[in-house]
Amino acid sequence: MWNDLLFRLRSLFRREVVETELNEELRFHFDHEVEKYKKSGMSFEAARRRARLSFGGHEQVKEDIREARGASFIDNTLQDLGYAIRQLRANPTFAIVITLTLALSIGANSAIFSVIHGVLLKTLPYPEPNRLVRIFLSNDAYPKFPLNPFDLRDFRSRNKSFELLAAFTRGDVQLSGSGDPVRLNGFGITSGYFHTLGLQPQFGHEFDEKAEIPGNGLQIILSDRIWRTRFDAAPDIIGRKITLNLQPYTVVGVMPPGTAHPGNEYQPLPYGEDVDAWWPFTFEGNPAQRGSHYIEGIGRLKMNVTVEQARAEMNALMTQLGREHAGDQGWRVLVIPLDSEIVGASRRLLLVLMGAVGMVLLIACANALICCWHARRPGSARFQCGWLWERPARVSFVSCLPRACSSPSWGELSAWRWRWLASRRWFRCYPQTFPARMTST
Amino acid sequence: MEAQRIDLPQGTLDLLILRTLSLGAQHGWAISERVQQVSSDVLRIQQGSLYPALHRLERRGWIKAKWGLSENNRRAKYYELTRIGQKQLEAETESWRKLTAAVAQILESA
Repeated sequence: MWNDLLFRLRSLFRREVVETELNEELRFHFDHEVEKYKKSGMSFEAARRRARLSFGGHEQVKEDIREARGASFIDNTLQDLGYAIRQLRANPTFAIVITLTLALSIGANSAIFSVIHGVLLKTLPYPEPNRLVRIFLSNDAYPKFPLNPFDLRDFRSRNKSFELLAAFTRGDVQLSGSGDPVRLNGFGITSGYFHTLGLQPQFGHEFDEKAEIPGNGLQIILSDRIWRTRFDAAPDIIGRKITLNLQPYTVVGVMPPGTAHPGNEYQPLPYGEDVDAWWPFTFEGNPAQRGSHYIEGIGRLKMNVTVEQARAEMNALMTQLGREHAGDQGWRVLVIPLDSEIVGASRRLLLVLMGAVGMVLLIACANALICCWHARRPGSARFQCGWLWERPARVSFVSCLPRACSSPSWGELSAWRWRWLASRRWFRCYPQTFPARMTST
Repeated sequence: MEAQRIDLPQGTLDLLILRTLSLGAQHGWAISERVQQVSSDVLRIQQGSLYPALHRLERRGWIKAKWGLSENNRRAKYYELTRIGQKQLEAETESWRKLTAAVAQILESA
């Protein structure tokens, strides 16, 4: 092994010495052959001719020896690489076009794949996410509508399909007191919201049902980010009063980092943003008035309860509520698995896109290969010296190397650009939730 | 009238070289001459295969090369067997014996 490596390296780096020795060795052999034939009575000329015949192609033998020494592959590749670089310099437009085509398609692929990875391949960041469902109302005028708070409260107390049922609604808050006032992305949540998702605060606790009673609402749960950036990760944060919307709120909990928002329809949170504050949703107003709809339901199904069973039960409940309250008439209940609510229709779109950019990359590669193949200048002397097909093929391949090496870096750049574009424009019409956040590749 | 020549079976060239070198260091030409003589002109190694084989064996570390003076005072490259080469020779000789014995047995059994 060691011997082999040293031997190859010597062949590679002491090339002149090795070549001279090789010539000397073959010359020695040749002269001895001539001598032998002369001794058998031939003339000098005839002996030389005979020796040359028996020797075979001198260059071919040398090439075989180089091959046997194990240096020829590296050697030829280096030669080809030099040739490729000279060619690039001779025809920069061509080189730039090929590099850019490859770069763009690699970039598009990497961008789309990072979306696919984020949206389709990664599972939702909650325990047993397949038991999580979203609950909406629906009628002919409004196919997907938020819930009335008192409907939710009735669902929660009467249903048999759900282990837990909770609701949330967007309501940003202004944090002031220490430093400049900032607006925090906030959500009002019912008791059991985090428990439904399978999460719990890293400090403190989540809201209990008492917090839902009007007048008890001045409590807040903070995100890890805000706790660290605005409160210097103070260990005594629980119980502290902080100023939100110019009122004193008591901090009752801090969520762990990476607490993901499950997405929402009503006043949705823009893509890529995190929730920083959760306040307790309080059931204010008259329970008999079921007109206003502004909270969104989320539930965790009991073990072995299917989405269809839950949907049937919820619709039966809704019919019952419709008999009790005029405002609840004419609604159907939608029970949608959280996963398909988030990914839903974009699955097919994403797969189609992946296929499309994959084809573009394939075409770009084929393009590059064809161009390189043509670039091998079949008419040139190099290609007429008895080379087999293998060498031109290698030249073509090696010619692609400088381009291929430079392309991924450009590709990365262009992927970054694609991602930026996607996050700016395309993603505006995308499910506005955490999984759509693109991972860097 | 030349003796009828037989092409070397695959893989036997290395064995012949190792065997020839086990008698002492030799240069390439002497190796091919010796094989030809000892085999009564039946086996003849072409230079086109001899030298690549020598360099390959050198790369594997079975033989090593050094420059010396030939009988007529010319610089020549002499090859000699290394310890690994010696072991290799014994192993290959053994398996060659087994092979020929087995082939012979089959041929004579019919």
